[in-house]
Amino acid sequence: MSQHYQLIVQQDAKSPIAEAYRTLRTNIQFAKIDGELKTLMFTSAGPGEGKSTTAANTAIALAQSGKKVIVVDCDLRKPVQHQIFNRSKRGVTNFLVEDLVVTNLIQDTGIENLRVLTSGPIPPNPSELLGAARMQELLEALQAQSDYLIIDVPPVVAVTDACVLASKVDGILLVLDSSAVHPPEMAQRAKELLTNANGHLLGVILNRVEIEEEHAYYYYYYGNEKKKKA
Amino acid sequence: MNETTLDLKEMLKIIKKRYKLIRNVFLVFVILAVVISLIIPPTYEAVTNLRVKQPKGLGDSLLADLPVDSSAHTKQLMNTYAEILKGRTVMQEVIDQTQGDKEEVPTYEQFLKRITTEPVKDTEILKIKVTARSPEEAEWVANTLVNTFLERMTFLVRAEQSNVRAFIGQRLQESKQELEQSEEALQEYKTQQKIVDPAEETKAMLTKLSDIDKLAAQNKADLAAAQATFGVTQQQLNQEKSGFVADSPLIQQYKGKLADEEVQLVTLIANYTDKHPQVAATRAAIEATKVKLNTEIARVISADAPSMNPIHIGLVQGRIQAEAQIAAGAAQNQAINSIVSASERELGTLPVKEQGLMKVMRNASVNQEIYIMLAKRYEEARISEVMEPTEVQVIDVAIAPDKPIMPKKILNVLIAAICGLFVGTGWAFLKEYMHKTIRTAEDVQQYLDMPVMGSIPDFTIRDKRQRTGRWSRLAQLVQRKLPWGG
Repeated sequence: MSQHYQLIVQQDAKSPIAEAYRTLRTNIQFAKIDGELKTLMFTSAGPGEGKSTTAANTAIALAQSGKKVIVVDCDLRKPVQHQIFNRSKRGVTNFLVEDLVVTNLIQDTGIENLRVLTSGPIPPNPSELLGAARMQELLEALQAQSDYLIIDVPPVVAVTDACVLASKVDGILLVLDSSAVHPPEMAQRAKELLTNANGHLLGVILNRVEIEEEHAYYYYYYGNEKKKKA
Repeated sequence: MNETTLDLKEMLKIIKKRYKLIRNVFLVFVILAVVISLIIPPTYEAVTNLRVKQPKGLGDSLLADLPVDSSAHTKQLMNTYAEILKGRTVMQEVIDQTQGDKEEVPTYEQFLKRITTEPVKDTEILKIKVTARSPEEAEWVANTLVNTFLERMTFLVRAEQSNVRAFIGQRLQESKQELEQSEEALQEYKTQQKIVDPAEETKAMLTKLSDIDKLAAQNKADLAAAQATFGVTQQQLNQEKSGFVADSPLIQQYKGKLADEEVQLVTLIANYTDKHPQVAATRAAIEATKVKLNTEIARVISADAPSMNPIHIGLVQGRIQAEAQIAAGAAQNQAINSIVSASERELGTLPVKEQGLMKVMRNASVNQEIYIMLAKRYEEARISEVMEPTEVQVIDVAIAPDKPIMPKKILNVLIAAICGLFVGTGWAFLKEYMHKTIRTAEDVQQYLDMPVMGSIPDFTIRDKRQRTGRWSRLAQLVQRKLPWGG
């Protein structure tokens, strides 16, 4: 499903999924943490677990609560945020390589309070770029312009990019696809890598959680009713 | 999720989840079974039934009445016949007859695998099953097999009978010559002495002697037949193994009794006609003793040699019976001789001429009697030689089967279906438990020791449930065009 992106929180605000994202938003907003929680990194153990979609939807949920949110696509290997938001690819790499002002690269998403900084062209050396001092500059510039910074990065176990950024963010959310055949060792490895990189792991987001049919009926009750009215 | 407990709900959930896997495994098994069933060349089976009778003598054995021993004996007999049937001699001939034109002529061992013999429980029926690639071949092989087997049996039995016949035939020839000689002598005497008929007195004496003469003739013929049988069986037994002596006090006793009774019969015949009750009683007693003797012989043989083949048993039995007959016959002969000598003294009272006539006439009549008896025996031997052995009868001739017995398509598919279901389900469970995954908040706690910040339900499932097929794609297209973004 990695190619079938949906901004469900925006499209179907009363769906149980949107409701789940709002719960997630609340949990993030009231997370117990030393200091403030502004920069959030979304990653996963392996590819295709839905971290980009989750990041985008969480960003929307946060934006809907009236916070200024910027989504930054730091997945410089397989970027998708420009597809999700249907925006130009110009973004992070352009800032890091060329001498540009960040404000000119941030794009509106059409959603109130939500802006996006897409990945830019795919560089040959993503890890080095993300570790450069210019990256720190970028994050600081973005933090100054928003309440929440949502960073989408590649999977932890496959490449080191996430670990490079781990210490530079306030909190890390590990997206786990509960429907996939997923050896626990891989998630444990991801946690280990991030902890070793001095990252602050906030917790896990279980994605694609199976809902049993009998529960689903109640689950979708409100959603369906809304649709009938519409 | 507690890994050690496996409740029904959990199982149903797993089955539901892995439904596709189970279905696919199931289908693969069934398709495989169908394909294999179609690929395997069909095997046809022809069935023929033989009835195996217990050989004479053994059949009316006293012990045959005892059910346990009888069934054990029948079983043993059946197995013996089955082994003869499956023996190399019979098989090789069947192979030569039916498989000769095949590209690859099967060996004895290979061919043997296609033949099954199975005694039908509690009966005398031996079921013979033959498999082949075509129904016609199955039928052909089965019938050829049975015929060859019967021929073999006939051959084995006839070998004995033809020897007996030859022996009696020889004796018959001799007796014929003797008869001719004595008749010539009678004729000569009559012409020489110019006598046509004997005197009244002589006639009466002749009549009196004729019975004893007849008995003597019968005795001679019996002895000849018994000696023939004895000689033949002895000869054949010597070819096999020697040293088997079936003798028991009871047999000895019966032998003695038989001899006594035969002698008694002779004495009675000398004084009374056949119709005299005492003569009839003695004859009956002789028959009874013979039956008892045979029974005892059979019992001793079957008890002493439980694993012998029926032909061998028959030979031994025949030999012992012949022995007994010879002994009894010899005793009888003596008795007859003594009576004859007594009556000859009586003859001394007649005129010399009459005596001479009497002698040649008696001689001629005795020889005639012997000749007739031997001729009768000879015919009997000839008949039993050409007679089919009746121990084995064909009950059902094999017919070409309509349907192949192999492959059993429905059964194969059924087994495959069940196996597929089991393997599929087993695989699903194995997969479920081998591939541990993080699925719930408890799993996260257990494996990662981290809190769950959010649980996002699987909306793709809902999508699939609500809209499927072309309609859903159309809806999605429309949706994408909608200006929900900005």
